[in-house]
Amino acid sequence: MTRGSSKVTAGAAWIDVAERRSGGFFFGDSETAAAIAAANWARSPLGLPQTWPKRLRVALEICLNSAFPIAIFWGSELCLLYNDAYHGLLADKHPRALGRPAREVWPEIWDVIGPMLQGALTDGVPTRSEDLQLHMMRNGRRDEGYFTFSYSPIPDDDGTIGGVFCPVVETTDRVIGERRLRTLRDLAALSRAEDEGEACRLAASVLAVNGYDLPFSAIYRFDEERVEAELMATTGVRAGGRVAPHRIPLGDPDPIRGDIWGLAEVARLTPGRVAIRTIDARFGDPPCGPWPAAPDEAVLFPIVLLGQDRAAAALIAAVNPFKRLDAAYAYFLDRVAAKIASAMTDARAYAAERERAEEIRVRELALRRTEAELREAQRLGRIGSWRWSGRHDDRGGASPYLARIFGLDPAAPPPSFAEQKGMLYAPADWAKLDAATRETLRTGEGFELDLPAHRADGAAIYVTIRGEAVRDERDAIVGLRSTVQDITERKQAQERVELLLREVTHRAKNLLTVVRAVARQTARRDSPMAFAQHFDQRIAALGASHDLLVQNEWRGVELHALTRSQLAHFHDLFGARIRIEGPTTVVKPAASQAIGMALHELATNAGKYGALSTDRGVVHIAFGVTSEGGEPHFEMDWRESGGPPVVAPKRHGFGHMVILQMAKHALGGQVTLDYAPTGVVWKVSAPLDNVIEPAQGED
Amino acid sequence: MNANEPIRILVVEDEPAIAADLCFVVEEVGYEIGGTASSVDEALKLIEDEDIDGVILDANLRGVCSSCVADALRAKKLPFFVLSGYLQRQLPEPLCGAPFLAKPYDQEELTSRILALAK
Repeated sequence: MTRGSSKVTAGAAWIDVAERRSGGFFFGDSETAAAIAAANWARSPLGLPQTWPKRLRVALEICLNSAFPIAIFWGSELCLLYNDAYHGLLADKHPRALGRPAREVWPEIWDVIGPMLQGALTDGVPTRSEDLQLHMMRNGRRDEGYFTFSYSPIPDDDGTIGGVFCPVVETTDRVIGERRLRTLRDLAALSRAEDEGEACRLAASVLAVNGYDLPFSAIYRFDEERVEAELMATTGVRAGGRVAPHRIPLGDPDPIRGDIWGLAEVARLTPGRVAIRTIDARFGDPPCGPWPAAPDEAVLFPIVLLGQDRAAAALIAAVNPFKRLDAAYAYFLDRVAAKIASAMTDARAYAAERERAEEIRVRELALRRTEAELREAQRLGRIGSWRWSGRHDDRGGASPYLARIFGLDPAAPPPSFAEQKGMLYAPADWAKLDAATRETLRTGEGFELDLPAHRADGAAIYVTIRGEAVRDERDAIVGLRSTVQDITERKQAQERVELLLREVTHRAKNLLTVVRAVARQTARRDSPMAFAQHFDQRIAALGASHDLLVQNEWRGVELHALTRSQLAHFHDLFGARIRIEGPTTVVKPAASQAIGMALHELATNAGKYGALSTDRGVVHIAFGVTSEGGEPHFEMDWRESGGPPVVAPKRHGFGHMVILQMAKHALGGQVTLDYAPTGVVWKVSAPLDNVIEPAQGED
Repeated sequence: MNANEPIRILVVEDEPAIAADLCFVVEEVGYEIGGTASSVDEALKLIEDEDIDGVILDANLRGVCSSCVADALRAKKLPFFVLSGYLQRQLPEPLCGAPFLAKPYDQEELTSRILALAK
């Protein structure tokens, strides 16, 4: 502590030289030099400049002559000397700081620089700091600042360390500039958001990193009616709290739940205009971000999306309490708001695009569903559709089912109308269709035609074709729309019904004729009394064999069943005196009628005169197929025995004719009736084809 | 045609009872039965082989249309009439163009048709 005064005189010779040269204590003609010269050094710990050590004076001279900001801290009090270039760092601390102990000049940052200076002074170790954050009081406020500097020890004249030499550059603008640039760059690099909300949240994730410039921030979106603002994202402040409520009723004067930010005004701002709000007691205890003090003002930006003329949202940006809201700061915040606007614009455009794509997708889906439905409906209704210009060489456009109806390749274009002639329609039918289509094209009147047609494989089908004229927007006929309906099955069913009706009528009339013939033949011989009885029996026998025929769907009658039905009178004797032998044999309808009638007459005669007229006689009935004598043929025997002696009748009635001629006629073979005294024998031998119904399932 | 020789009629009918009745009526009017047939083939054979003056032709023989029998009769210029339970217009050519007797027939009408075969 005593070094200062004891060393002051050491450089006197040099000072003398200087004095000699300049005519006084002269450190140059800079402003600072003048201030040094003018200062009253008597009360300074440094003492009068004449007494300053030579080394100090040399260093000071270098300092004063430098255009680079340089400070010198001298002596144990680290009294401050500096040059003109250094004034900027000191701001309003100059000129008061000149010669003052550093601790007094910068009490607010002494906790940082004090130890560094003491270290350099005591240990002689130089320091080097880059972009060191030092928030000095400048112009009445603490100011965010960054500095690159070194503290280098200056040897005193006696070899000890007398002070610290400090060249310094303020990098505040660069550091803050880079920080803001990074924020803007990150905002620009954000990936595209799905919607506006996500755009705001993504932007906030970038802003959150830069708490220095944005101690806190909030983005609100206005609703369509401008009644309410909804919080989209925040940084540095809790969403839903007092500073950033989830919803703000625009223009509501309520001091707590109302429009505390005055967003109603922001909603009306044009781009480029801002609103500034003081963060006062109404906001309670607002967050500070990285700063030791809370922001005391905020800038509110309208966020106007591209192509819109009013704000869609608002950005509330709290201002760094340690930084003046200068042009650069304001510009930065303005850019932030602009980036948010563009991110929201992109998101909205993307959302709209997505919506449009979704709409198209939904429409396509609906269209596909409709098409599928139409296809299914066409299949169900067996309807194909065809649309063509009306020119003979035109193929037009066909629905898939049209190809199905005609057995065409659905992948290939349909045949032209000209090609359909002979291929799908017989020429005469094609000509009918051609005439109908021409008429429709000429008059606009639709047509409907039922036509026989052909599938590609040659199968005959039947179609109903309906056609109508297709008109353009000016109502001119430009073509033909037609449907082709496959009505083959319906047509076939209709034909079957017609055939059946015809057959039923035919059979009924035939049967009436048979009944008539039976009646007339019976009447020829019998008395009226006998006629009634015989006629009844014969008709009943006919009815019985007819029943069997109907039961078997007119496909023939089983011979056992037929025999039993015709001998139903004697059913008590079945198995005992009436023996039926033969395999299961189905005979044709015509043969069944003839055999049935013959059996009826034989049984009637047997009951009257033959084996069944006594209580001992036996009738033996046998039938089957035999190959004796060459071709297989049908044989049937009726053999009576045990009855009264047989006497051949003198004249033959209807029964005889039925038994002999009719059977022969119907069966086309040999039929014999033998009046043997021991019993009547009736024998049939007929070609198989005339009698036996071919087995079902065989062709 | 020799006036002394009886007129011979071929009866083509597959229904035995009806055929029997037809034969009776033919004989009743004084004609002779030139044969009976119950199928197309039988009828064609008899037309070819037998000496016949006229034919009663059922339109449907065991489910087969007898139009080819009519063709053969036309070719031989033999008189015939068609007997059927079908309507005349439902029959194919040449059956529908021939004299027609509907089933069930009337005795007098049948008689006059049979007599007409010899004119």
